[in-house]
Amino acid sequence: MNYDLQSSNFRAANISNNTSNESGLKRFGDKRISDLLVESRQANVNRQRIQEFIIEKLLFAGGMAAILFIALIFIFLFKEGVKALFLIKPIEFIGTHILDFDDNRVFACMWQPVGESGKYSIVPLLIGSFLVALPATVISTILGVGCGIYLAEIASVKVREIVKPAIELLAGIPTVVIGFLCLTLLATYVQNAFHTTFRLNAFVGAIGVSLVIIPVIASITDDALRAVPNELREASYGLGATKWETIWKVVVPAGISGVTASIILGMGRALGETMIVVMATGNAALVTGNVFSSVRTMTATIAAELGAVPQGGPQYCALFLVGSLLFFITFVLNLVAELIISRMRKKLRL
Amino acid sequence: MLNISLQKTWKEFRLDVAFEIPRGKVTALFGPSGAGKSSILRIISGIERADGGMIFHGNEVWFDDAKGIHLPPQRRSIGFVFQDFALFPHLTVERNVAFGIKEKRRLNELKDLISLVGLSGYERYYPAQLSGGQKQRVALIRALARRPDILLLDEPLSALDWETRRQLQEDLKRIIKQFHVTTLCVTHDVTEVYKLADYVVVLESGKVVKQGTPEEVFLGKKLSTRIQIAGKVVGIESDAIIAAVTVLHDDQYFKTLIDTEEVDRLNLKVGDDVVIGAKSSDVILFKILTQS
Repeated sequence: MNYDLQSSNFRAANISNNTSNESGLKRFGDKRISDLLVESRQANVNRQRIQEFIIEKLLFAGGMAAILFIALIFIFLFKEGVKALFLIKPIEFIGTHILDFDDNRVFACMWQPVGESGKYSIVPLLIGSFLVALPATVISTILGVGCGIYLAEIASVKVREIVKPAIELLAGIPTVVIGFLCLTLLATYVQNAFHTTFRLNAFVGAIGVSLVIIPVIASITDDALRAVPNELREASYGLGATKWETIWKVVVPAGISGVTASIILGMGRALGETMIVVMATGNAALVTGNVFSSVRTMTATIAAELGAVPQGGPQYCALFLVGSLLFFITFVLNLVAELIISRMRKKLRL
Repeated sequence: MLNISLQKTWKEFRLDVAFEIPRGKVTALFGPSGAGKSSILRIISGIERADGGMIFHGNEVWFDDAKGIHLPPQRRSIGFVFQDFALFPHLTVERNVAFGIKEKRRLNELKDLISLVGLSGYERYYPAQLSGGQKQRVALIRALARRPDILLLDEPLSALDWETRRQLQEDLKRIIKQFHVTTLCVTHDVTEVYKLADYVVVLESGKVVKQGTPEEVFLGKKLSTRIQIAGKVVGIESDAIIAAVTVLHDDQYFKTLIDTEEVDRLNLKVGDDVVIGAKSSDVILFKILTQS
């Protein structure tokens, strides 16, 4: 054993001798190779550092740009919108006193910006927007979440590979095409089915809009549910739950933050949708609670009127105020969604 | 009694095993990682399906490839405890434990069950608020709450730190004994086998290589020693001839001297699991006199 130790020591000594010889002998110019290596490595490190610095700043600039754009858009909208408050009495954005057929003074909410005394009540536009967006959200929540659950939990790989791109394709259809279909075909079907007074109404618009947001909801729901760890499903099966119980009691609740987010994002999209509602909702600014009535949404109003009004006039500014309000509503909606999600994440630590 | 014979092939790995799990006992499924231990557990539970073979539980057929029988997991009386707990994050401790209970009237046992694992007062906590050891206790009692015939433990303690693990081994043993449940426990920790198992099946690259009591399996024979202490090597101080090996068992350190050659032959390292055996013919027992 002693001998062994000695021999191994001897070998080790030999090796160290060799290496010191090599590094001592090999030279390049007046510098040792090892020094050169150190220098080139230092240069490499420096270059990497500069690269990282540039990349970091570029990404930072990208992020800042997004914030800047939002701020600029908001400032511009708001600046023009605020003028409206000086040109038109603020109360008029809710309603004005008019004379009815029996010459009684009544308070009415009307959007009639053209004419001698323009009426600028935003109430019918708000009602119009929500009368389209809420039913659209309900329809697409039912279908979109259902579809997302199907894709994530039930569909075989083969079916999924066909259905998922197909749904995403639906999101790619130009909204004007959907609007066109709503206007020509769907409106007739809806009128025949529900015997509505108005051929073009909020419900037709809602169905059209839901075609756009179903893919959004389905796709995000699918992603959210697939992010639920597989162990939870297996644990559920291992505790005697059936597939349905597993989906409803485990997978969907565990992925609920993503599902909620998808619904709120979908609703934001529904409020902002323009082309379909311009074509399918009839554009009559009515104060109503009936989804089968014609409505005029905020977006449709801006789209239809802004091009045709003199710049700087009261109507022009009122439209900007409507735009600011729309921006504000969607902003709050997204904020609420973020809050809900972060609170749930914190609680579940998902 | 659970009779198992299974074959399943993955890309480059073939599982081909046959063994029995004795009723009311704790059987350890032991082997290095990648030996197919967890897969066997998943196949027994029905989460995964084997390519061939059969699983009998008494007279019940759970799986028979030839006859095309494959009971879904919810029809097999099993409780599964996962390596990383797999508690439902959106449910409280109480709801987690209640998840597997089908009969309404048994829901009033909940309190007792939770207190059995020492978690009274934590009923309304969410899993995210619990420590690793507490989570594993919830996972264990959740699996037992539906009173399964077979309890399957997939490396139940490996996600925990060493200190917690040691403490939980005791609890695990106590609770399993209390439920008299036939248990199959996957592990790669020899100390755990010694502590928990009555019977051990050793698996290597998809095949059963040995089975028997822990002593028979790990020492190659039935030990006739008077004293046996299973533990972990925490220190080796060796010189040319003799080595002092320190072994940690529970909270106790045991130091023993062996030949340095023996250390080399066994390739003994800190962290290895070992059994110290002493063949002394007259073991002496002292009673410690406490002053009163």
